[in-house]
Amino acid sequence: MVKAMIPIQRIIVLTMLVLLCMPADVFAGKDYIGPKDPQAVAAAQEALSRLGPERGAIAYSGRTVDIIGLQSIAFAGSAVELEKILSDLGARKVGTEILISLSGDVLFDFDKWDIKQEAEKELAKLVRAISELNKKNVVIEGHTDSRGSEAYNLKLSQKRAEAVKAWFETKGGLAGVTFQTIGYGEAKPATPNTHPDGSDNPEGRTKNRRVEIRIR
Amino acid sequence: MVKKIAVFMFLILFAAVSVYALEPIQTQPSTDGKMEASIVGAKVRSNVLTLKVDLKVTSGKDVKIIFLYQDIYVTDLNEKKKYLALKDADGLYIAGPKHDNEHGGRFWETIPAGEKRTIWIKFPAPPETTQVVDVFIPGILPFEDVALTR
Repeated sequence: MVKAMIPIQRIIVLTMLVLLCMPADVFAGKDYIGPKDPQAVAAAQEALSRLGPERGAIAYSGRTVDIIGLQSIAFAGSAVELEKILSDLGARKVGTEILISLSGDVLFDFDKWDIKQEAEKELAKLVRAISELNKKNVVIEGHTDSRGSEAYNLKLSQKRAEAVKAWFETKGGLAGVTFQTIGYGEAKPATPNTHPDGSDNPEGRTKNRRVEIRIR
Repeated sequence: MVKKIAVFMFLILFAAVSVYALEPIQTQPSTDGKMEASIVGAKVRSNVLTLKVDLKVTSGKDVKIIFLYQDIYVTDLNEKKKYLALKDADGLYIAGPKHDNEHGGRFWETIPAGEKRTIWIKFPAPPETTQVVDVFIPGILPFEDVALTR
């Protein structure tokens, strides 16, 4: 039938065919999930009204200044920087969590649970990561090596986990984040505390003295 | 008369194609180099900013992309403010397409090599004095100074 038509009529028919083949959402009738869907538009307006005059804007300053004390970092955050921070901290993704292991020797003096001043830089990085990731649940696990009694190590690891939590909440200024602390003592070593022949493994013990942070 | 109709139809076709093929405002690669994202729309209407983003696989293999809409945000460096996506009354982000409603909505799809998908998200619009914003999408290098259309 098309062959029988004069050229201009063919053009009209072909144009109409092309228009019919184009996705419907190019024109008015967006589907349910499209951005111009009246329901999406209405929901957006409703959401805006719930947010009030500030429209849910989160101020950059304040929170970050409280954390690190460096105003220049306050709103210089970016996905690239976050990647770098996580990389510096040796972060690993485990399931839906981000796991960061901090050396106990960096955080604490021997047999103590007061955060060392030189450890604050690492903790500040962690605060930054938690803020940028916008996560609200953080589990802090304390671990020790196998020296000392089990009961003592359990107590020490719990106190160390709580000390990290206290730092996050006070010096870190992490508001709106729920922290959970667990002391595992020597129960969950990262590596063996002794060599296969039974001799001491100081390197292994160093790795076992740690605080693990699980960001959920 | 027939000629006039033909010209008219051509004009409609041209306009329709122009709308469909949105020019990227800005393109950024992914941090793993397997794909790129292009912002193809950043329009403000009735105090709502609608962002449209093309996700295109640039590697020779299919790429599985998973992210939460809660992790996408816009910053206004001028006002030093950060905006998260708008949520509806059920706590779901006003965005799409969604694979499921995990954490308010999650994009999860394996995009075949060379193909692209378009996502959209609605945010509270920054004040009228703000002309450009930065956009952050997980796994993608940041978009800086994205011009808003008002």
